[in-house]
Amino acid sequence: MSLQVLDPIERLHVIAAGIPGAAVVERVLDAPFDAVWATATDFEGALSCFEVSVSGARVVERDGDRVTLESRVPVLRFRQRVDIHLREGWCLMQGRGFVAGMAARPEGDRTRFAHLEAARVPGARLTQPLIRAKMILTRELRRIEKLARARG
Amino acid sequence: MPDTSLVRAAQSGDALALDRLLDELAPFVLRICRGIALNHADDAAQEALLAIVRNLRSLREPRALHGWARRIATREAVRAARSLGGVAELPLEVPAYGDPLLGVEVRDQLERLDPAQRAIIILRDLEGLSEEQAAEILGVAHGTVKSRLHRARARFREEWLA
Repeated sequence: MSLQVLDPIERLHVIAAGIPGAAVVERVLDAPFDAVWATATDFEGALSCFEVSVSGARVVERDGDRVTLESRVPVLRFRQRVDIHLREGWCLMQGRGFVAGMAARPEGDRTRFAHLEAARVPGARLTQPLIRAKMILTRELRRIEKLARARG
Repeated sequence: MPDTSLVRAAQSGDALALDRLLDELAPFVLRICRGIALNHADDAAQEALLAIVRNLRSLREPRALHGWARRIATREAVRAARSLGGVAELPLEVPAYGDPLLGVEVRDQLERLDPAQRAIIILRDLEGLSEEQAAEILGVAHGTVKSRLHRARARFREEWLA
């Protein structure tokens, strides 16, 4: 009996249902899955190029599908620990104040990609409405697509 | 028995805990849905998992997680089987009953039952729940479970011997 109930994209939507105020954007990116996924999970390289809230990152530990990252926050210039669950097509990241998720699956020569963002601070959605969060996520998806096309 | 600290963490907004909980619950939910919703099991399981995750904070006792999830999965599976209809075949991944040929025969007979009858046989005879537990999950009276189970088994027997 297969244990695979949800593909990564469906799984991200299920996770979003359990996180108050989570924003999710899903698009088909015009780049092959391998290039997209390599770009999205290039924590020490590409991450700071597409993620506006990260100015740099360093992997401090890898243990199977668990990764620990130390990321630098721009402007405020502090470092924060980010815990990650990483599998092929699945990346869920959590820091003290945020949750971010990326899920992908091949779709022909292109890639269906979903991106989630949520603040872990009560009332955070009041300071950043859902529509603005989705605009930021959409912009990040375009950057990932551009970087992946350059890579692929 | 679920890891109660994992359930508590997921309830308090820990996304990685929720992610781990999903790994544990998804196969369990799919098993229930496959038995009842047959080839609509994937749709039913997805709806059930959405409902479980969305309502997780309302679960007061983490140790009751599986019973609570089973109730939601059964409800979604019966709903999917009724509303989507056109149940054409049982998936081959349904757990075998020992002899593979016997398993095929049993699955074929189960397929001929309506979703409500299939649900009661799955809960009582495959999941091993009591009549009281099955009644609670299905949201019907104990007497209804008894009569429905009697009819379902009679129908199964009738088809089996035909």
